[in-house]
Amino acid sequence: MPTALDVFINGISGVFAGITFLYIAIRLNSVIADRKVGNKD
Amino acid sequence: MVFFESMGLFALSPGMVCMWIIGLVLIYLAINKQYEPLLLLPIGFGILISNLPLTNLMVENEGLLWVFSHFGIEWEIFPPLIFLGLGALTDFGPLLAQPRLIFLGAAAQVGVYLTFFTAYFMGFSLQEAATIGIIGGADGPTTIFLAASLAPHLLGACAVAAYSYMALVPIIQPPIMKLLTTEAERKIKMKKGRKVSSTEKICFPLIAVMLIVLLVPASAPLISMFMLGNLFRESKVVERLNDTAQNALMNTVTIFLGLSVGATMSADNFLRKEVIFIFCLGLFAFMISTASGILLAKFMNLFTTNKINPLIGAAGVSAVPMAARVVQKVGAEADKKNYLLMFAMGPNIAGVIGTVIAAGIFLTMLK
Amino acid sequence: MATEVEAPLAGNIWEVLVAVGESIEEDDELVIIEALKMENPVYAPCDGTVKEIKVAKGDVVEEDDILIVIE
Repeated sequence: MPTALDVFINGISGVFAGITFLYIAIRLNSVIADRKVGNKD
Repeated sequence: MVFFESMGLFALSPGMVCMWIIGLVLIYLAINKQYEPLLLLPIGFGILISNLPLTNLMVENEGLLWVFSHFGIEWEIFPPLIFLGLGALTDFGPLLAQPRLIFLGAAAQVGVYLTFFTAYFMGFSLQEAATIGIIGGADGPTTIFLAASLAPHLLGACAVAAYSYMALVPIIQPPIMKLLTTEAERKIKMKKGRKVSSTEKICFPLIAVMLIVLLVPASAPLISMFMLGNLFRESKVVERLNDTAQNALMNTVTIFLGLSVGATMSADNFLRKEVIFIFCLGLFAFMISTASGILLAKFMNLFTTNKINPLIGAAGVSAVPMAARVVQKVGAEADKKNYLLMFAMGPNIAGVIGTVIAAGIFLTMLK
Repeated sequence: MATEVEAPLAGNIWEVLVAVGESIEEDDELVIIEALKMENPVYAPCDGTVKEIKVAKGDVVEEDDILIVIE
């Protein structure tokens, strides 16, 4: 079993890391989707 | 004589009567005050009938409520199905239009972790503390999902705490929102986000589910159902499935889920001093989550000219759309022409994803 | 000197509170838009007379759709 501190640190950094990746994915998504549809951003 | 012996009246205990009162209070709150009635009504009723003696409703393999509880909650079916419906109801547009708002949904999870820490130091086990912490995510199904895996004996208390505080968001949040923001900040009018194409809205659930499940596989049951529901909605080609997911399926599962959660709250399970701590910690979690969302928004404002109204940080607490409505109301008090509602939906929805990720990480580390 | 009043958010027209020809003042409530089960009033940006009402109760509007024209 990990310690509470382990969970705390892994947890918070995990959430922020996951959300950051999702943020990057959203930005990429909008660029790609707009290119496909031919819109200007 | 046999008939008299079989009467429940003679098998009553004071604990049971106590639970009746609690069940009736929840039903009252649901009907008279309209506190999250969709959940609190069946939960309250489930508490009532499962605390009537000699019914065998909760007897293993036999009881009606046991069957609902076992297959729906213990087998982790109900929460993902609710997420299917929630995904079909969710419009990610406001989030995709201003992606940076997603960080406010992440910030709100700080309440989860601080509560986890506090609960642990109050004597709860790691698993129990995690379940109590996740209340701060303001997400009923995720709380139930995590509790069923990590701390089933706390499921009832945590679920009732989560749903009660979600209903109380209009009371809990505004004082914190006003405390942490200046009048000027509350008046900030945000610039409209970009237009979001329907192609984007179709790609998003696919990208999101793959990314999140690759990072946190334990969150798969919840996030995949969420994104599937969203895909039903955005593809616009499966309106029958979309409609069922949003309405019939969601309502059906809600009925069973509420009843099952109530059924877990027997007198010996619920009438312990830990439950008072859980309710206090749950409130603490909601408050910290509200604060951390607002504070991150203020912090982000230091680095950008396109200012974020910090009030929308409070909507990172994923009581959808209750928290967004609270933001609108508090913002309108400062400037009635300020329409923050749709901006607030960005963090509101992001918060749901954030809570699921947090739950997934807890599961990965503590199971 | 016509001013177009645009929808500040997307939603359904819950109620139209003014009539064509009515004289209004700045900050009067013109239309109520329902979104997420909340009633959101749209206020007049200036004084004037209602020249045109482009929406009716129950219409679905997007952000920036023109609701009312004021003269």
